[in-house]
Amino acid sequence: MSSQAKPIRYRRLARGTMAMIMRCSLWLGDDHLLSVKSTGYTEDYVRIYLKDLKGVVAQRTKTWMLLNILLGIVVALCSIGILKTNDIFSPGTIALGFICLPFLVGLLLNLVKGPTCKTNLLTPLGLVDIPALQRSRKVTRLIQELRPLIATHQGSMLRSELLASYDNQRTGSSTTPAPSPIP
Amino acid sequence: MTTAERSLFPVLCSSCHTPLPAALCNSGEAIRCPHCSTQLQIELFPAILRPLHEGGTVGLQVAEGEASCFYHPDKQAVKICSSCGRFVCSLCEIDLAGRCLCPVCLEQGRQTEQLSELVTKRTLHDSIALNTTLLPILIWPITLITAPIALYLALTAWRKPSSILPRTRIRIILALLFSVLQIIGWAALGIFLFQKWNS
Repeated sequence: MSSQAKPIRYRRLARGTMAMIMRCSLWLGDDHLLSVKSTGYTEDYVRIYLKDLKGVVAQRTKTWMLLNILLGIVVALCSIGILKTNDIFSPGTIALGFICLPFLVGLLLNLVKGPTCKTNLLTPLGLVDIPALQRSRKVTRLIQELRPLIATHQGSMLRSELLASYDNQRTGSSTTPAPSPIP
Repeated sequence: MTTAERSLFPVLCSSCHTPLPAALCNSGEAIRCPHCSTQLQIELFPAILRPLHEGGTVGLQVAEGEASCFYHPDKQAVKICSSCGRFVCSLCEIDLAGRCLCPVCLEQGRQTEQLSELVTKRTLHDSIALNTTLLPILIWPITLITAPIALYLALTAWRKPSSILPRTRIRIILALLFSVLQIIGWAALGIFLFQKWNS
């Protein structure tokens, strides 16, 4: 290889954890998305080129609600324990407060981050799981960020036009071809 | 339109796998599957309409006076490989991050990991070196063995390819620093014990 390719500049869009130990992140390159799974010692990359990206599908999960309920119960029990004591500055109450604090912070963080979801990207080869996108808010932000980039790489279409063509294609009737990518 | 030309991936509900009507897509907010009521957020892009088998054309036959493909002498050259400079036909041209490569250069780039666009896995040698330096401190006597190993790993990690993502060399520098400090510490302890033994 005589000519060196210029290094790709990546910008992080999202990050998360998988199975408590694996870290995952989603990066945006010049013309592709890069999904990274890292163990800390190795990194696995999956590239999804913007010209091939067919869509984003996010399914809401119950993790957010379950976490809220669990953390809420712990915080509520600790709060009842603290409120029931006569001396609020007793060592037992302070210890209970310290135990409650991480759960309270966790609960507030979970509430602020919003509902959880499982996100997949539709590609010509099927669905690609993106573990870094675990919150609906992040997915909405990603979609908003992708729209102008997709219009550049795939050509822009009106929502009604795109959905009508898609419905026609799905049902098998005649359709208008997809716009060719803008060079 | 033939069946093969149709998109093979109609958007299905992730939960019940029922095809979803287009009206539910691209609304910008979460919608419910009409069958299982699972909340979904779907955004479709124009590529969903593209047939699956869209690929390169076979290439035109070369006419007299025209340049031919290096790999297919009977085909008309349409591009020049940006790596080796060979003429390639439309069948051989491979577009990679805005560059045109021939199949041979692509394979060479993949084997030598010079094309970062084709890298699917990387080992983070700097993190391995740093953890080999720091983690054994928890059971400090074993640093006598691990410190030289960590120093070797840090030195070799300097030239090895690391993550394709933005990453500084701070881990290697720290690994070098701590491993050298550990070696100096053990050397100082050895000298001290040797002098004590002699006296």
